[in-house]
Amino acid sequence: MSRIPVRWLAAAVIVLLIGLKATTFTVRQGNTSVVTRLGKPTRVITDPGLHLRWPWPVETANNIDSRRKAFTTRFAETLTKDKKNVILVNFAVWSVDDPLRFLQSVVSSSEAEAKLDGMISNAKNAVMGNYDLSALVSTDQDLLKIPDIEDAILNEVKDQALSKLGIRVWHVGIRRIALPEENVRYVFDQMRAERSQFAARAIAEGRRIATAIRAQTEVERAAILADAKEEAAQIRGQAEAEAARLYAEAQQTDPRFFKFLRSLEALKRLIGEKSTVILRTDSDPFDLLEKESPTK
Amino acid sequence: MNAEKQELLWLFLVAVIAHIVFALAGAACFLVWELHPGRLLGIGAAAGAASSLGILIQGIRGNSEQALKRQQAVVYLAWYLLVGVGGAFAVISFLKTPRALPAGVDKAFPAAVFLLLGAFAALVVRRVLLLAVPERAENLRYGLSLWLINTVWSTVLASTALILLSIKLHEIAFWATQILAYWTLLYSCEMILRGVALTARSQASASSVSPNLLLFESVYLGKNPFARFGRLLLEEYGIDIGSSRVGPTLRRKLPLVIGGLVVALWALSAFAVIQPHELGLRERFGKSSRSALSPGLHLKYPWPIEQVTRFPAQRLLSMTIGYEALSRAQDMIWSRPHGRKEYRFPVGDGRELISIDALLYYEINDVFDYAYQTQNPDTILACLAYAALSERIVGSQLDELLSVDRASLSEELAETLNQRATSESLGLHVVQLCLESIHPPFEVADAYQRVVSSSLAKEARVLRANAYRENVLPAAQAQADSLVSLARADSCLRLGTAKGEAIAFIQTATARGVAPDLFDQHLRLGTLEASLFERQFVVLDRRISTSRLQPWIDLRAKPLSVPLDQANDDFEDTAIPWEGEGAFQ
Repeated sequence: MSRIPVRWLAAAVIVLLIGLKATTFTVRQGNTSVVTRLGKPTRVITDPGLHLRWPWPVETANNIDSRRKAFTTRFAETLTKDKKNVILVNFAVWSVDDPLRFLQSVVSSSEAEAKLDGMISNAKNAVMGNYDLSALVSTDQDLLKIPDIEDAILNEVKDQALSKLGIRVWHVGIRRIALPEENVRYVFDQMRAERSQFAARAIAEGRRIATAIRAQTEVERAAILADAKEEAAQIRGQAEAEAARLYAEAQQTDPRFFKFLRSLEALKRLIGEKSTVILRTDSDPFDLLEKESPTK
Repeated sequence: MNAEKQELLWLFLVAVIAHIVFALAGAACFLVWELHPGRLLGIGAAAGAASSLGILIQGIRGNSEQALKRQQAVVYLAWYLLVGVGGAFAVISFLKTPRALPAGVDKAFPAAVFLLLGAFAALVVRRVLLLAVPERAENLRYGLSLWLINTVWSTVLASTALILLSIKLHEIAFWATQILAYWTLLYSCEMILRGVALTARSQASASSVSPNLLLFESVYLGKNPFARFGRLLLEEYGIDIGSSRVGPTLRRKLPLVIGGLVVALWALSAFAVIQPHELGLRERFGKSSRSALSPGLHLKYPWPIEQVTRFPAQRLLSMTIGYEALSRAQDMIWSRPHGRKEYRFPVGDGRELISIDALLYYEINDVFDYAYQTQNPDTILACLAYAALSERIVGSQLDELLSVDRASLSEELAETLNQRATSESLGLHVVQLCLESIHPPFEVADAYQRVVSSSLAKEARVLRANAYRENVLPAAQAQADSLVSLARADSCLRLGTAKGEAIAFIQTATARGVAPDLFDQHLRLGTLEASLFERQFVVLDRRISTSRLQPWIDLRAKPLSVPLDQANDDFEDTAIPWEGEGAFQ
């Protein structure tokens, strides 16, 4: 094969490929294409596949992604009906409904989202002016109106978005609810104060319970000891009574001798080591000092 | 300074400047476009700049020409490998990023003008440098000139792409950027190859390496790359392929070889390999079939007739809810922020805030819906998850949420999300929503922890009181038992004593009956003996006092150990008064 036919063949293939590329275009699944002829929109193609066109610059196929897409709005502070500031971050799910209008009104989906963000912010401010903060955050379930708020924002936005941007807003949701930083500071202060109160209460409660337990313990200890002492006294009393009865029975046999004997015992006990006893010479046995012998 | 050394110093100066330019480019890639390989390019080029500068300073201060030649190879190596690898990675990252219009598309035209000015500046710099670099430094002048030409053309191509963007010719602009990216990738690969080849050479022979690239010569100067390649092999590596038959044959059959390679590459696009964790969708001219391609090798019509898009359908995907995760794992401690950013949700009528950190595990359950119903199904799922979480907690108080049954809350949220994901046709299924942490914001976490500490302190105090009780009451009971036992013992003793004494008395009384007086006298004297034995006693004459009654016991503390007569005198003096006189009244 000589060089010239190879070059020609290569050139023909390249020209053919360029020609095919220039006269056809593909529409991907989920996309829509707006074909413009010298700038004038001529047809909108929604079927995916290969399509024919006049080569550039006569016809241009503008592909538009018509799948649904979510975007998140910026943080936007708004005022509620009860004059409280709240920050809402919304999300919107949208798709291109009118490709021609979309192509005419915006360059890209990011631009469409920027415009939609503005519309949603505007609608949000208007809607939130009709609701209290309790519609967003409340422990009373009857006051919560989040679905109503979302529907109201959607109703405000959807017609406008369709007519101006050619996009259909499927729904608008609240992604996050937040409080302004200044308010957050006070919320934190309040939360700290409340927790300090709980902490102090717990400590005081602990003290109260502990003191009560100790006091009760002392009462029970005293009661136990008192009972024991009473029982001990009873036991001793009974023993004394029994002893007295025994002594009395014994005494009955000879009361005078008992008295005498008991006196002698008492005498023994009463005279201690340091006692000094003074006796007279006429008392036994010292009377022996004066008396004569009994044998005389 | 001789001419050769001057040439080497020029080379190092150029290397410093070039490395600094590439370091800045790498930093811009990383910081502006978040292309991570740009970091490699930046750091590598900065290191190259530093080393080149070091060698340059050493050369100026008098390093020998031989030493500089040895270091030249190091500079080339750094240049080729670091910049080549960094550039290649940066371009690959760029090519792999999803095709989308840049955010600042409205600024495309001014940017294009700015780039064109840059191209003009590069031309001026080329002219100045060519004048400044001595003619003897032929290699350097040549290589530098080619690099600057490449810079000019690349900049022109980039600005063209921007201008096309600004006039809404997005498709052509896209192809322009693709051409630029592939061209950069191509000459980056040549740099890498030359760097690798350089490592195989001795340092002495490396000094003859020139900074120009074959691709630059063939594209910008129209030189035959194969002839240049042969000459390069001969000059720099000593390999002569011109004398063999391989060279001329290759040159003759070149169009056929290139054509064959192109066709082979094109034919490769008729195969599609789906990895084990993937499912694929086949698109014929953009129209997709509903059935998914399973893992394995599949045949298809080659590009551009059919294309296969792959999705990680078998993989368990995850995203964080409530916080933005750091790249590394982080401890979940209340008093430390979790992740890069942690959100606070208002609860309890807006008077309290709570942070909830959750991990959402999900998978693709319908590839077709996932691919074609929505553009960003993962983002929609994240939005739905935040909304569901917010709706669930706004009606609660913080304390309720802190002690909520997390398993049931997790199930409830996952179920809600699945319902919504199905109604949105996301093609996603939520497997699990793991509630990693529910806690007050870290700014006030210490206050909550203090409450827990206080509760623990309370418990401890109560426990100590109970311990006291447990200690005291048994001790009291023991004391009580002891008292009673003692009383019983005393009682027994007392009764025993009484019984004994009673029996003794009765026995004694019986014995007394024999001779009562004698017995009494005996007892009396016995008692007296026992009482007075070894004790102080005083015996007074019965005539000492008749008018006064003598006491039986002297109560005075002072012991009487005086002689009897003296004692009598003393007693007289200090006699205790009786009846009407004394202290007993």
